[in-house]
Amino acid sequence: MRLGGSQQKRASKMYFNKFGGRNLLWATAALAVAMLTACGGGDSGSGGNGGNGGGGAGGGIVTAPAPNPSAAANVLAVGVDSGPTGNSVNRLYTSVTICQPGSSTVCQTIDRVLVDTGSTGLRLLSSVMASGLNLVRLTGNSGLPLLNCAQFVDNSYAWGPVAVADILLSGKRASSVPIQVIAEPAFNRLSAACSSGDEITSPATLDANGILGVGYYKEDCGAPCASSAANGFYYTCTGASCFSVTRSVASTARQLKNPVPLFAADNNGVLIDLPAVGFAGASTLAGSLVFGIGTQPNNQFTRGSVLTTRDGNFTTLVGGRSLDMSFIDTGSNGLFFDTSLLPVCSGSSGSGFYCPAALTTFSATMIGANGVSVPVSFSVSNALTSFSSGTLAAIPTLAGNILDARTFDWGLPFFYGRRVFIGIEGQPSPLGIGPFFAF
Amino acid sequence: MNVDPSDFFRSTPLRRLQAGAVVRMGVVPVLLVLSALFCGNAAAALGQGPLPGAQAPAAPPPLASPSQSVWGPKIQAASRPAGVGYTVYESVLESGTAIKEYATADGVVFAVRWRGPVLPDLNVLLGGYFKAFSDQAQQARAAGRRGSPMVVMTDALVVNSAGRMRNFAGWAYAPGWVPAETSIKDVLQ
Repeated sequence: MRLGGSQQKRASKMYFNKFGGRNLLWATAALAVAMLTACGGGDSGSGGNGGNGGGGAGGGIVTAPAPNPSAAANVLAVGVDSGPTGNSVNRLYTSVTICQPGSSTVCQTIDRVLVDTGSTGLRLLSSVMASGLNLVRLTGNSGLPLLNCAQFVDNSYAWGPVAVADILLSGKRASSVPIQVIAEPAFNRLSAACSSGDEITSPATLDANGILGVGYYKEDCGAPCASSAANGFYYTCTGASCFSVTRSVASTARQLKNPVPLFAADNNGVLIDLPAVGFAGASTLAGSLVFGIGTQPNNQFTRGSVLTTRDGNFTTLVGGRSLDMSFIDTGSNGLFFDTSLLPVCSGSSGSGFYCPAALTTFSATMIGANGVSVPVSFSVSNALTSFSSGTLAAIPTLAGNILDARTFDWGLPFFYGRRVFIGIEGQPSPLGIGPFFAF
Repeated sequence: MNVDPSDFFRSTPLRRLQAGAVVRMGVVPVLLVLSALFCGNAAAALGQGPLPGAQAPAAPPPLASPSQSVWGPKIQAASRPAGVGYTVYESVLESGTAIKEYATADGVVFAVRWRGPVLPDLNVLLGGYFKAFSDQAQQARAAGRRGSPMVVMTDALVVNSAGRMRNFAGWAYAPGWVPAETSIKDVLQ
């Protein structure tokens, strides 16, 4: 009974994992002896195995677009709008062109790809990728397709094979980069360890057509996945038809990658440059993702502070608390912190956001691992009031609750009206070797 | 489901330690433990609680016996902090994510914490409470909370799950199972 609801929910999904829920215990028990030798997880789906390697076509094959001669080669246009669902808030999108490695004629441009500094690597929904791309799939050590699991903190996950493509961002090209093809029908056998949340299968479930992970890491997993199969990121098929999957090591060469350090130049970090948004919010917002730090006239750091991190975290002082696991992330769509000064919105339509009666302003201090401190002021307004307009996509005062006294998640509103530099791990720059944040 | 949630959760612990399941189910969990010893994360399949209405375990789990953790071979320590009535089981998944489980004297896990590069399988870690967490997450995403920490705050279950790729941290507890003399704030601080 206790798991029945969960199973019903999952049964309605295309990628039904028949070993989910309570059955997992008994199914695993039956397989326990086999697992002693196979250690494979034994995942097996019952969903249809249709579709070809390329998935559905959301856009055609095109020649790679010529760089805009009036724009700098290291500037990628980014923007906030209401997204593929028409309901997005504080989601930063861009367009990404992918090509067959080495090709400038077999390419596709996909719009509304989420710019996410909280994850690493390019992930595109199979359903929006043109089948004519025919991207080569990477294989694991077994010689069978390599699969990737990306977990997101909002209890969603992306599952799919790893393919190789050239990634073109404005005038920059990263060659032969492993990317994830999300929810490709031919690879719908999931790992149980990956799939306890809700699978991302469509632009509606992702609220985007893909994710461009350009944070301070170079790979989505790094060294642990190169040495251990039990890494939680990488899997491989156990047979040619991929009726089941097992855990897999993946060398860093085979892992999903931040494309920026692969550029020939302007490769030591990124600058996210978004205009300020008034308290009233805006329906659209246009800004820039600039590649390189101190490499061109357009990416010079002229004023501000450099904060280093400890495992990507720094400390935020706010309301008398010291939150030592704070971070900055374009992929979070609000400012998330715990305060007793703000009421949480009532009703499911405001789930987890704050709804103060009046605009409430806070003073905080960010303190880097290097001891550098920066005062930051921010304001919070009533989320339901903002949502009720139905047209606001950029809401600088959107904030929500969390319960722990260690985290401040500075999401996209933090970036409005700032030039935020993010140094990539191991890459030298005039501001030091990454990772760091500077603004 | 038409079950009164309050009745449901009153009768359902967050999870029980494997030792309780061994007592109740005999040979099956032994196989599971063996598979866990060899397969590491395969232990993630082990954390299902007893069937609804199952009796409490016959005996409290002994301390510091690795095979008695639902997390299998990687348990590193079990301790009973001075002056408290619960036991802390610490383990590290092969993925590198550290888990702490807080169990009452009779083996009921009333709180869990995690921190590491990948999320633990929350379906395992939260047991019968996972659906409440999943429902809340769906509701929050539908309300526009995207890529953002997940919070559950009900009489039956409290969860905070934060972080991002390669750096996750969170905790959960079942208020109804926290020992009367225990301050959950002290446990989770």
